[in-house]
Amino acid sequence: MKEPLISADNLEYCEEDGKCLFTEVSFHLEWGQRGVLLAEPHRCANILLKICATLLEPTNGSISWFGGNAEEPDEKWLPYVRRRIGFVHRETSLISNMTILDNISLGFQYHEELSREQAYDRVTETLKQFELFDYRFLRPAELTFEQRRLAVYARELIKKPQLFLLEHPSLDLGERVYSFLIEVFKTCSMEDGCGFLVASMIPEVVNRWGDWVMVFDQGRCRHFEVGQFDPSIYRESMRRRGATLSREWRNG
Amino acid sequence: MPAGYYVQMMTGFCGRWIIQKLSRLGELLGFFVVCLKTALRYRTTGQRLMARTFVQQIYFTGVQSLELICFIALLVGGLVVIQGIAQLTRVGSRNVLASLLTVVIIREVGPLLTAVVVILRSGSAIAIEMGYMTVLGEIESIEMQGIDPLHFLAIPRLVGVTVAVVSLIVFFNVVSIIGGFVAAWALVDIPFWALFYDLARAIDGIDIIVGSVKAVMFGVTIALVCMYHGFRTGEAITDIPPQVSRAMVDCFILCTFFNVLISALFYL
Repeated sequence: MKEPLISADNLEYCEEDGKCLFTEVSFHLEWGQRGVLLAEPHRCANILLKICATLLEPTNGSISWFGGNAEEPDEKWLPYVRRRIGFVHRETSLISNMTILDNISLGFQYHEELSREQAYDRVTETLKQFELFDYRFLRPAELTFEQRRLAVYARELIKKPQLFLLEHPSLDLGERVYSFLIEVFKTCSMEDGCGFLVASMIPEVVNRWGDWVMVFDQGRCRHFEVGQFDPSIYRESMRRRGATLSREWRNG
Repeated sequence: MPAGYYVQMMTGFCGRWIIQKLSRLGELLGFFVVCLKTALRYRTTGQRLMARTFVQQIYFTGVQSLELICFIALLVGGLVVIQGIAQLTRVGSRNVLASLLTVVIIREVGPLLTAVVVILRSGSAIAIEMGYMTVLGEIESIEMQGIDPLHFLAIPRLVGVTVAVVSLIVFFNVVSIIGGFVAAWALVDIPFWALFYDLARAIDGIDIIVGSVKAVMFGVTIALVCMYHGFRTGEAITDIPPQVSRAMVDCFILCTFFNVLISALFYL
């Protein structure tokens, strides 16, 4: 039996001032599964995604990726795991002094010792697929938000990761592009068994992305299967707590 | 207030300052060790990419500074000779002009002024670049590509700046000696060959060793301190200016300190 893609047990994260953002967070994400994290304030979900991406360490608790954890003695383990994770967070984090082509082909140039031209050849198809080919020699600042976001997705997809960590997947994307991405991810899920962990503030995301939902409520989390989860109850409970509601929430 | 209170306050202040500086120095040494370990661990990875960044760093720090270094070196060389002639003529020792050039320029002023130019031009640029990359999440995105940011960003800059500083110090010394020769020839009509002969006799092997040691120390210090402060930037854009200013001050203090230390070790 395959190990779960990611397995977290009693995670806790407290900031330097001692304030804990969340405690007792446990979950497993199996191959091909899709989990949604709903959180208000959103920082909880952001931090949890960074822990899942190996970028932060929890204050307490344990987490393992593909059956191994950060205490692996092999120094090459962490870079190897990171290449198997596709992480797209809300800020488009392209390297600003590199062209889109260099940004997307950076991994090939570094890990596979390819020349620039060879690495460019490897990413050309993806650039065309993401309609970025004509903009390949531009820097991120010269693109629209949507194009930048797409470039980040292209950069992560080209690694062929098995685990995707997505923060606000629909952010800055038009409906056409968003649907295209959903199709790409669906193919990845069906053909390669990729798993997805999606963080959002919008409960409707569950309909498109979720096999299970984890709702952060005052630092604790509650699990729901998709059938059990009622977005309207979540919305109402957030409203009662005076959470800042986005327009999409208010409109329901 | 009793006098003891002020003494206590002063010693407390000095103690805290020294402890703070020593702990900063300890952190920098730690950062240097981590950089070395990273360089060794990934010595066979990403060589093409690293070579490109290394060449770019040498071009930015070395080649693009040549004009400025040349201008400053000519002025400094001329200045030392003007002051030398003015003072030495009074005591009738004009023939020690070449020794003065060696002592002032090659041993002390050349390396230190070159370091200052590099701190202002490249050090600030490196600290700002690293700071922005940290704040904008670019470092995290590099990490998520399975790339160690220390290897990809720090090592080529460390080596590139060091190579550039060594080359620039040699260039500074040569140009300022030429500037001194020209000033001497124009002001008191000392022939080139006579000055050159005196200079060749005045320079010892130890001067070349000291110059090389200083150059390497300055290059490593500038790159290391600026990257260290850049990487330490917090999450806000407003964290960048204080870190850059700290990097500049630390670089200058450390380079001056090493200059004195190395001179004391070799010449006392």
